[in-house]
Amino acid sequence: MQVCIEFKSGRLDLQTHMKFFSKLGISLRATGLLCGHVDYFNQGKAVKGIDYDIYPTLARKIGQSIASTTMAQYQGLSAMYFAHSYDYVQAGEVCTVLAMSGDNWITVNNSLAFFIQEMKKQLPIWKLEYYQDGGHQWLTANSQFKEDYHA
Amino acid sequence: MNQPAIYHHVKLIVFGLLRQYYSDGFTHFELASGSNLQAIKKALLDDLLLSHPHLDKTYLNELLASCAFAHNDNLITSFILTDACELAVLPPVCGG
Repeated sequence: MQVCIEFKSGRLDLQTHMKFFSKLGISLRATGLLCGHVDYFNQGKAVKGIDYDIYPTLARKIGQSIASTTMAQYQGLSAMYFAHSYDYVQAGEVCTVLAMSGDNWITVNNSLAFFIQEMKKQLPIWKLEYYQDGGHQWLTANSQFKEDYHA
Repeated sequence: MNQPAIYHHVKLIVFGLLRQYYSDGFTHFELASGSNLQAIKKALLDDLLLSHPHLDKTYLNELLASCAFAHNDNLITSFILTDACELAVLPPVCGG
């Protein structure tokens, strides 16, 4: 399986990131795409943007580990692309791109959901959210690190 | 006669909400050789309380208890200080 995991400063551009698939030259029977935006609102507050803090080397390592787990759990996947922003991203802009290719849509859709859930629990990424009223706060965590991913 | 204690330099790179307490993104101190992760967490707690005396100790205790540590880009669950080192302090994650 072809796997690419990237972390980019600022907003992501879907067309740029999907070029990964156009250059592979392998069978891509079904490709599913999941993209995440910085939401305009969070818990009733108007959001201006999010500053993403990341530990890139560990994030890449854990991302590869989640990709391996996903491949083992969902047979028939042929390619995966994942990108996540760091630094500041304005509300409405894309901050996460996840795409999977595989033998059939069911496998692809299920693997997308699995990967994104694990990513939210495991990847060392933190959000400092800025609001239209001038305030800001670090967002409450999704999860603590699993011990599965220690050295 | 007791041997003098040996101390090592510990640099902690902080992430996530811990960055609001360390604008440079790190702190550092000296700790006795043989110190474990619990001792390092205690030293970080003391460091935080010293630099931010208004912070609630119970809150900080809970925050640090929930943090993971990484050394050389690997998550660690145990550690014994034997030399100068650099560790990353990782609060619970919040990606996506």
